[in-house]
Amino acid sequence: MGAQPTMLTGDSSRPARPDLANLAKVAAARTRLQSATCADDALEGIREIVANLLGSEEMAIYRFDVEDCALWLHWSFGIELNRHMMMDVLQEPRLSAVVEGATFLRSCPDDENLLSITAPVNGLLPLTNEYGRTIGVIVVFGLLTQKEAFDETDLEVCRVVSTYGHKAVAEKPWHRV
Amino acid sequence: MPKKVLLVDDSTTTLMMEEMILKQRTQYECVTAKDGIDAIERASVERPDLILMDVVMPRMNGFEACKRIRTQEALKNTPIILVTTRGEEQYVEAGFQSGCNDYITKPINSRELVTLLHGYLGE
Repeated sequence: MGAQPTMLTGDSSRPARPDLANLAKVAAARTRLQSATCADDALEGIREIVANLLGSEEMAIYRFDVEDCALWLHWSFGIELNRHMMMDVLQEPRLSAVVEGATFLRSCPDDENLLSITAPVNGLLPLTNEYGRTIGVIVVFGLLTQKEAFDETDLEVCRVVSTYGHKAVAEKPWHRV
Repeated sequence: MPKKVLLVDDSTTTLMMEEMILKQRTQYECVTAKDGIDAIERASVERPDLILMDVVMPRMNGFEACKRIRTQEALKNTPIILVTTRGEEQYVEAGFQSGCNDYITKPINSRELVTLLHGYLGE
């Protein structure tokens, strides 16, 4: 699977131009995940980054099963996902793009929900292993009240998480429900 | 002597980010603490010129730490800025009741943070 360019929703051709003043966010995210010592530490790192740098306290990490083209819930924070333990990638066009390497972030509060589920989904980003293959997907649900939408700096932070966060699912045994 | 800022947060990612921002954009010296109890101890020893402190932390939250720091004679006038994930009025009010001078909401914007600190410490 070849990686596709990442994008903000509604504008697939625009390159990320993060605010230089906020590049510390990108650097901190990279340092945190590169120094993760194990799967649990990487999960904690992703939670910290999503909560403190991206502005969401509702997220889930799914593990991508290539054989049945489905996402299985691996870990979640701040949201009950009993109805969404498994997501069929083929039923959601954006999920199909994400497992191909694309990132979707709502860049405007008026953008449509990223998935067809009822819960608000504001971000979808792949977790790719060292060979560039997608092994998981992070779903960002509701944003903090003061955070209206994502910006270019957030997209850069997400790219870091996609690249360096794979340890969160790569090493941890998992169980289907 | 550079002004000293005590950064308090249980998230290593946030501490790293705040420290990077201040090192890149200011002349302030940074010291860190990982929760409210640690913050009280560090503040007593380091005598910072300003404290930037998260609210939600293990062992002791930012509100309680702020109240206790205010009881120390040497620190009663030290500016304390709380970092909160919630912008709702009741949390802001609770922050000011605990003795903080100001607050900033997550996710932190670098420019906003530097401008706020410059306002208290000068450039």
